[in-house]
Parts: sequence; structure tokens; C-alpha cells
Amino acid sequence: MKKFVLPFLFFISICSYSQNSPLTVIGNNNGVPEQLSMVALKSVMNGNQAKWSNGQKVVIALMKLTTDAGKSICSKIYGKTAAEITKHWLMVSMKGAIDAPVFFNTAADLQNFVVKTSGAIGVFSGSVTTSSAKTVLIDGKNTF
Amino acid sequence: MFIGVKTKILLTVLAIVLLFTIFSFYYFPAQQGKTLLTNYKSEVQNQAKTIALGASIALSEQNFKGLKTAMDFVKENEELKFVSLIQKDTVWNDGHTDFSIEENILSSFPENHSHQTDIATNDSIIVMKAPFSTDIMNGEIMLGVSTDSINVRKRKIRFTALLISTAIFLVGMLIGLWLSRNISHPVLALRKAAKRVGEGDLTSEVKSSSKDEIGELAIAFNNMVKDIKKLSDLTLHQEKEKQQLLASQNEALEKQVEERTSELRKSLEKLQSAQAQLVQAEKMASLGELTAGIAHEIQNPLNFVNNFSDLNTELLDELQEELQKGNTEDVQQLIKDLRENETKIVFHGKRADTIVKNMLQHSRSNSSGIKEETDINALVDEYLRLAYHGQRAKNKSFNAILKTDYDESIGKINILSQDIGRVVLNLLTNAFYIVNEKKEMNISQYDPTISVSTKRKDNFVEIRISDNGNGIPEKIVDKIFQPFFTTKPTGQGTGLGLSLSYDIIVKGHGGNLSVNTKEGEGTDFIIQLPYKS
Ligand SMILES: Nc1ncnc2c1ncn2[C@@H]1O[C@H](COP(=O)(O)OP(=O)(O)OP(=O)(O)O)[C@@H](O)[C@H]1O
Ligand SMILES: [Mg+2]
Repeated sequence: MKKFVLPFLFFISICSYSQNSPLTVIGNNNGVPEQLSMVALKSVMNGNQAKWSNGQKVVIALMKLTTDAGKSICSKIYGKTAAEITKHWLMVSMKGAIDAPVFFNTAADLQNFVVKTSGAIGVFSGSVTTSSAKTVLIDGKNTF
Repeated sequence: MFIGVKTKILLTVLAIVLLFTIFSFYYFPAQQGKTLLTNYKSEVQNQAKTIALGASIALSEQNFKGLKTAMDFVKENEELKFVSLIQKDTVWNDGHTDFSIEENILSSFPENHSHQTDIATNDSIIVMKAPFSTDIMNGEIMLGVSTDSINVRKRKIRFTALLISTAIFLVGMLIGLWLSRNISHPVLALRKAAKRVGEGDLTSEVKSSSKDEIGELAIAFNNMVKDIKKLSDLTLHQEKEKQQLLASQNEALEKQVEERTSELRKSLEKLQSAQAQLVQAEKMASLGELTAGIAHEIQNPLNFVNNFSDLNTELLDELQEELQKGNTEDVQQLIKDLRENETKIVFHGKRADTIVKNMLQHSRSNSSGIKEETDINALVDEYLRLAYHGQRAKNKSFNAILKTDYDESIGKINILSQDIGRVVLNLLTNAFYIVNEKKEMNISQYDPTISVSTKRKDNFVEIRISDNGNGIPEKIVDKIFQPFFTTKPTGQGTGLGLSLSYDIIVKGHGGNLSVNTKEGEGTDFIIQLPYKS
């Protein structure tokens, strides 16, 4: 465990301070709407919404909070530290009503997951490399 | 107290079965329950640990998949009461010198479930904790599981145990019954047979098919009974043989005894007839003695009768002459003489008549057996003369001095006169014989003398017949009264004289016959006859 302690602390500090990577939201073709407001996105990301309008289960895909994109997610979507988000999801997943987000190291992996998983909505930074998923507009913007 | 083999075996088996039953009914389910609880506890603990691991992974790696799987797995458990995540924060004071631990229930399932952090395992709930520690936070997973299912399973176990123990009990009892029957049956049969043998029934046999020690015992017992039976049969047989032998010997003996008896009877009969003949002979002998005497006695009167008849014939001739002469005086004298002679003829004729009558009477003796009043003196005197003349008839030259001394006061005495006459005759015959014998020895200055005396005593009459012969030798004096004892030459004496005399005096009259003798000087025979007999 100790092996991880130092890198963790390092990542967390990075997450708190570099929050400038632009974020893109993509969604699986099944269930995920074309566009969302920032408020709605934050609500979904906090696990307040279990299903999409078509009844498809909401699956959240995020970049690891220790990555640059992850740090951006911390500040722009949650406004909390990585530790606080983790604790939050720990509590949510303990209750089991909503699945905790799946975290990825690379944008490619994330996009791949979203393409394959129905109702999946992913947040990352970088360009969209797949055509099989749609880019969800947040407050009418591709990136924020 | 008597406890049979059957009961003992049954009790033993019952005890064992009860032990087993108690074991299977109490110990086994209790142990099972414990194990069950322990297992369940460790299972719950594992689940808590899994969740804790999932939580720590989720926290450190932002990978919530494992936690979800663990949670899903736990939630499948219907007994789940709650799952809680307790955050333990170390709160330091301002100077960072001391801290306290704040416990905060972060999350729990099911929703809205609330509990204290210090809830512990009790009868209805199992509470397990698993700590986790990450950079982000420390805490523990707390899992609460109801014990209902365990209790149900415990009940099931108990029920199963009840079933099993009942089955064990039943089977055990059946085995016990079978065992006790199997063991006790032959033992009881043996005991019964032994009792019967004890009562003497040697036919009893034990039927035992069991191939064990008891079976061997039964076989041994049967063999033993057979041996005993053989032995007792042998003994019985021997006893029977002995009895048969005894019986046959008895029979043979009885036969012999019978034969002997009949032989004895025959010889006794012969003897009796011989004795009768002898007695008859003795009678005839004494008759012979008498005849001689009688002949003399009759001769005497006959001589008188003849002489006087001759004399009378002469006197009648003289009378005829004198009548023709007419000499009346002489005639008268002659008639007077004739009459005197006639009287003498009649006297002597009568005497002869009496003698003959007496003789007849003697030969008829013993026939009447009736005692009559008898003049002893007359009787003795008559037989003295008869005996003397008998002796003289045999030996013309014989002479003896006869001395008599009769006690006239005796009077008449009630006796069998002929028998007493015979006794007197016997004693006198013996006396005359012995003095004659001595006389013939030509001893000088010897005058054969026979003395006869009678004497009246207080209750009896004594007749003493004495001689001056040679007496009786001491050697034989004890034997003279024995029948057939005689010293006379063969053919002369029967040896019955004294024996018969003794019988007549002692048995016939209740009197006594004794002898006094001195060798070379003479013998006294003493007859004692009671007045009343
Ligand atoms: N007066 C006597 N003196 C000596 N001996 C006598 C006298 N009387 C009897 N005896 C002895 O006793 C014996 C037995 O006498 P007994 O009259 O019984 O028989 P017997 O005279 O021998 O024979 P029987 O009388 O039959 O002719 C005689 O043989 C004789 O030896
Ligand atoms: Mg004689």
C-alpha cells in the first residue's frame, strides 16, 4: 500500500491545481441525449439520475482523476477534490442504487467503452476519434 | 435380587443405546450448531473483508467494480440486515499533540437503516467488521447478518438428530432384544434342561443352533447328559441284574427250602409212623411181659379149678358110694367139702376172669384217655406180681426177695391207671432185669431184692421202686430217659421204656420221675404223682 501513498498524494495535488484541460462529453447512441445543460450534466455525474429518458441505465465513464483530464473533471464538474469524489462514489456504490463511474487511463479506452456500452456517457479531454458515438453538447458547446 | 441374563443384556444395550441417543440428540446438534455458527461467522467475516478490500481498491484506484460485485454478492444474502461503511477520521488538536478518532457512518445498506457503531453479535444478529485503510480515508466495513437461517438450520439439525437418535434407539433396542433373545434363549434353555436333569429327567436335550460358546456349552451339556444317562442306565441295568439274580437265588432257595421241608415232613412222617410202630412194639413187648405173668396168674387159678374139679369128681364118686351105703353122716361131710371146693373153684374162676379182663384192659390202654379214681397200692401190687411172674416165666430158676411197704392212708388218686400201670411195669421189668443180670454174675451172698413202697406226701403220692442191682454208670445216667437209649443187646430192648414212662408221668400227670443210683449198689426210681392233676 505504501508504494501507492506518495504517487497518490502527488496525483491529488496535480488534480487540485491543473484544471485547464478542455473536456468533451461523448455518449452512446442508445439512450444518451444529444445535448445537456451543465446543471443536468453535473446532476448525472453526481449519480442523481439512474436512467435516461428511454429507460436505458446510466453508465458514467470518466478519465482517472489522477490524469490531467481527471483533474479538470474534479474542478469543472464536481468542484471537489479527488478524495471527496471518491468518498462520494464509495457511499453511492455502497447503497447500490447507481453504479459508480468507470475510470479510464486513456481517452481511447474511454471512447471505446462508451461506444460499446449502452447508455454510457463519458467525459474526457482530447479529440473524438470514433464515429460510433455522439458528442454530447453541453450548454450547446462541444468542449468546456 | 435376581436379574436374569436377558435383563442384564437388555439393560447393557439400553445403556449403550441411551448414550448414543444422548450423543446424537444433544451433543451432535450442539456441536453442529456451533460449527455452523463459526462457519457462518467466518463467512460473514469474509464477506466483510471482501467488501473492505473492494472499498480500499475503489478508493485507491477509482475502480468500483470489485466493490460492486462484492456488494451484489452480499445483497444476495437474504439474511443481510445491514452493510455499513464506517469512516474513521483521526482528528488532531490545534497543537497537533493529541488526537481523537471520530467515527462516522458514511454509508449503509439498506437505505435509511441506522445503527450504532458499537452494535455487537448477539442471538439474533451476527456483526462482523473488516477494516480498510487508504490514503483517502481509513474505516471499516460492518456487516450485520440475521441468525434466522442458522436457527432454522439448527432446528433442522435438531430435528434430524431427533430422527436419527430415534432410529438409533429403535435399531439399538431391536439389536438389544435380538441379542438378549439370542444369548438368553439358549442360556435359559440350558438352565431349564439342567433343572430337568436335576429332577431326574435324563432325556432332556438342549437345542442350540448358535455357533458360539453357548452353542458349544449346549453341545457339552448334551454330551454330559448322555454320559450321565449311559452311566445311570448301566447302574440301573446292573441293579436290575442284581435284583434278578437275587430273585432267582431266592426262588432257588425257596425251592430248596420247600424241597427240604417236604423231605423233612416226609421223614418226620416216616419217623412218626416208625415211632408209632415202636410205641406199638413197646406195647406189645410189655404185653409180652404181661402175658408171661398173666399166663402164670391164670395158670394158678386154673390149677386150682382143675385140681378142685378133679377133687370134686373124686368126692362125687365117694358121695355116690356113701349114698348107696346110706351113710348120711359121711354124705353130709362130703357135700360140705364139695361145696367148699366149689366155692374155691368159683373164686379162682373169678380170679382168672379178672386177670383176663385186666389184660384186655391193658391192651386197650391209651384208647380212653380218661382219668379215673384208682387205688395206687392195689395197682402197684398187681403189677409187681405180674412183673415178677413175667420174669420167672422167662427164667425158671429166678428168685427174688420182694419187699413191699404200702401207705394205706393214700386212698384213691385220679390217674390214667393203665398208663401208670405200664410205668410201674417198665420200672419193675428194668429192676428185675438188672438184678437177674447181677445174679447171673454168680456173686456170693447176693440175694436179688426188689422193694416197692408208696408214701403219702403233702400234695402228692410217692412211689419208690428200688433194686440192689449194679446201678447206672455215671456216664449214661443223663441219657437213660432219652428215647431209644438202651444198653441191652440188640433185639432185646427198644430204649423207649423210660422215655415213655417219663412222658406219662411228667406230661400226662404233671408229676415227676427221678432216679437215684449208686454203681454196684442199686437204683431207686421215684415217681411223684400230684393229687390234683
Ligand atoms: N434199675 C436199673 N438198674 C440199672 N440200669 C437200669 C435200670 N433201669 C434202666 N436201666 C438202664 O436204662 C436203660 C434204659 O432203660 P429202658 O427201660 O428205657 O430201656 P430198656 O430196658 O433197655 O429196653 P425196653 O425197656 O424197651 O425193653 C437200660 O438199658 C439200662 O441200661
Ligand atoms: Mg426197660
